[in-house]
Amino acid sequence: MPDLELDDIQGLIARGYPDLKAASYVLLQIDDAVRAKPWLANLATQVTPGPAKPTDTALNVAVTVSGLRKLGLAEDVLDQFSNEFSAGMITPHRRRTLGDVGDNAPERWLWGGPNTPTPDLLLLLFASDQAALEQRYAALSADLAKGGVSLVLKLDAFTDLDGKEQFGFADGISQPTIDGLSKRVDIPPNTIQPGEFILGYVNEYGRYTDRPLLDTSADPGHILPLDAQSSGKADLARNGSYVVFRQLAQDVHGLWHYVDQATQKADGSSDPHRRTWLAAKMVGRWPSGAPLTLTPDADDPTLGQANDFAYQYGDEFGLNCPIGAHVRRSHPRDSLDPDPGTARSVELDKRHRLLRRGREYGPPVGDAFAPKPPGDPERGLYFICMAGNISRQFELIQHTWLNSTKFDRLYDEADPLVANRAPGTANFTVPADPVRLRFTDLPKIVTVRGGAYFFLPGIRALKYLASLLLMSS
Amino acid sequence: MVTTQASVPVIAEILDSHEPQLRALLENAGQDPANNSLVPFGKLPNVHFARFFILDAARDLEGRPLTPRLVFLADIDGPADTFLMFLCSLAADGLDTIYQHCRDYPGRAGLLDFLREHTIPVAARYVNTIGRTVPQIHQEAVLREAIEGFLNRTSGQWTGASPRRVRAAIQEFVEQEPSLAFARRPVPPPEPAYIVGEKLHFFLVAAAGILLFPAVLVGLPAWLFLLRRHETTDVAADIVPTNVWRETLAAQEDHGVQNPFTSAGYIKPGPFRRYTGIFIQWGTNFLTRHVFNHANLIGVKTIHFAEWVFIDDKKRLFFTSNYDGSLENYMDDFVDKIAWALNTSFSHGVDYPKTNWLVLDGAHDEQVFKRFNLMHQLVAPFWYAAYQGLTALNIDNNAEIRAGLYGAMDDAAARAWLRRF
Repeated sequence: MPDLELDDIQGLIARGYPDLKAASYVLLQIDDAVRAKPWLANLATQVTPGPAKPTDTALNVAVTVSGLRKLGLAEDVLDQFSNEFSAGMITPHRRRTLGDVGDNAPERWLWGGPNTPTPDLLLLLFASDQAALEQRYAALSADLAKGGVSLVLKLDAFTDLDGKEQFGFADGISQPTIDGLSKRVDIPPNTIQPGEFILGYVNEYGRYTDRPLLDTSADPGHILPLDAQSSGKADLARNGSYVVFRQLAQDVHGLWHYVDQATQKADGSSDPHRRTWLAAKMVGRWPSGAPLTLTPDADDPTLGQANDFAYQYGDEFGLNCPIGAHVRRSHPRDSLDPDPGTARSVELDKRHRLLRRGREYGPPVGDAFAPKPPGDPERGLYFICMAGNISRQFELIQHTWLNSTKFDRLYDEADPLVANRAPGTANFTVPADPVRLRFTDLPKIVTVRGGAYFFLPGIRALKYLASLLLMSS
Repeated sequence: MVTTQASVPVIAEILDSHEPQLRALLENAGQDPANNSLVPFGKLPNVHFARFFILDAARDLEGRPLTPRLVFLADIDGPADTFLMFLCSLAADGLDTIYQHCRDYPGRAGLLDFLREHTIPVAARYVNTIGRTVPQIHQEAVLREAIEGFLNRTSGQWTGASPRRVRAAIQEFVEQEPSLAFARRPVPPPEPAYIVGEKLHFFLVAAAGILLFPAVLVGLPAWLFLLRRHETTDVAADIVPTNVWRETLAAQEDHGVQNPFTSAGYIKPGPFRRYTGIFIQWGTNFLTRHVFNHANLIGVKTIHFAEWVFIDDKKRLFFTSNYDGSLENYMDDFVDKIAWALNTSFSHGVDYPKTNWLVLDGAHDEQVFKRFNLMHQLVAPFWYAAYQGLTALNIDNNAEIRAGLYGAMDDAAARAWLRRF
């Protein structure tokens, strides 16, 4: 079992702070790097580390490539970060593969786009309740101006939807267990090498993911840990991770109106069981979280947390959980080539996992079947996940599995929940005997409203960044 | 009669200082590869894929200058020469406009001969499914869509119906639909002469292999000794591509379902790598012809066509392929599924990630292997794909849908067939 330096790992990797119900994501800009250094050094001492289980508040800090540049990290070091991180989320190619075109185009984003200020830092702030959150934020924001940083945007998560996301489905059930992180013992297919989520450790290929290594002369104070591969260099990324952050607006009325209409009885009246059935087919789990593969005909809350199941034996053709269902696409388990149903297929799946730490925002919908009220506020998900290799993990899942109309053996349907809707792709197939059902003209339910790639450094690396001498000074 | 596929590489030297003009010309035409005014490939019904790309001026491993080259490569149905004649009759003006930037081009009257003379052999190639033509792929896509439409229109009629009854209704629909007249009969099987010829080729080569086996065994220790000596001393420069280069390459990718992959590199110096490489390409060609000739290249099912072509007296090799999905997914397929085969094929190239015992390491080192590919990849300013909306898996499924229209089926077989929709 790998030996993890938990004290140096930011807490959000170890846990999502489920008991800290209130959260804000604070995007900051560095205006004066000289003053930002002592401010950041002080902030680093407040960061919640991996072993802590706070009951009041927690703070984690991430940084963008522009933030690293402003803090004075040399270009040859920046070049050692991954292309995804250093080139950013909105390159022309990424717009195509991530589906950020049309309504989703970065030009329309509230943050992270070409027309909005570029965030340099991200504070991830959690608290036991709203009052505690406001108190902690007030204390932090009082220091901002003095610290040479200013607020770009503060994104407030909704306090608590009782474990459900905005559509009304239990979320976050299938989280990978990081080998060596805790005493928790999980099934082997769900136990993932730490290097998939924490840099500086062995990944699912048995190798170390690329990361910035510095000559020790660049770290005269010996703040940074040494490269675990014994190169003698200082490892700027050890105990850190990349963070994918996307603000995803959810049209909850749109989803439920669609499934209601698509399943109406012959007399035009609603069929409550059937509409929930269709929505569950799209998700791949029932509202309680119970997987359709295990309980295809009706919800079974006793299976709400079930995660020890696979597709190939028993549900190869998607008769229970459709091939195109959201959870089957985003985590195909043992269902893909090579050799579905074997350890080789599971091995491949394990190289494309995400550690999800997102939270909902906006007030929940009252009655999803009622007409959408005028001025209905935006609601959705602050999708946040961590990955050691954004390209192989997040981007592959987003492009090849969710947005692709060709996932597995499909032809012309993208993910029924989260994908953009190019012409001719708004279909959803529900395998059935003797003939499949085909639903068409699916509405676009999720719209991207902002996003960026961040680096979540280890705590020592955060202190190192605060200690960097500015090139200009 | 079975129509086999051919890959036709034409390589020509670019005149001094003409390269920028030529590239601009190809880029412009490449905006609309099916209907552009130079070479409208959409009018050629037997072209699966076609591309033009440029090998920049360079120096070989001994430091000798290499002139820039224009490479044209087409994957076609039927014989190469028929294709070149057809190409010249359709697009003589456009080809004339292109090849006047090339050395020794004799002018329009000599176009066909020029193309013939500059056609070079492929060392190895992979065809997803030998014998499946472009018209067949298009027709079977139309067939599947028509049946899908029929099933949509009749949705709700089939509750409780037996699979055989549904299949009979589909068969009747196809029978009565005039636009699907082609599907009333199955694709004719390969004629006996072709099958016998292929089997004969396979067995003669295999027999020769068995006869030579003792000699191979005798030579094996020496070969292994040389292999290990090369593997332990070869230098593999691990160069990190810049973000600018990545974006340049990515600009041509993910505009549709399929993508082009074009790469080139030098063969490591000395006879060992040269002759091992030649033998491996020969073996690859043998295996893709006789074993991996139907929808599956050792477990990878996303490649339509691929070619390995030696140039410059076999001191350089370029590799081209047409694949489904993103480059990241394509590379992951290589790393996850057939790293050993990639090692066997490409480890004779300069800077290929270090292998051990030919098949170990190399492409197993995920990130180093991906970097190697990015550093050897080229932009194809012009790339044509005849059925951009279909994956290789789709095409194979369409063929199975058609094949399932004929003959008797019990309920279990009919049920399995209906799952293809």
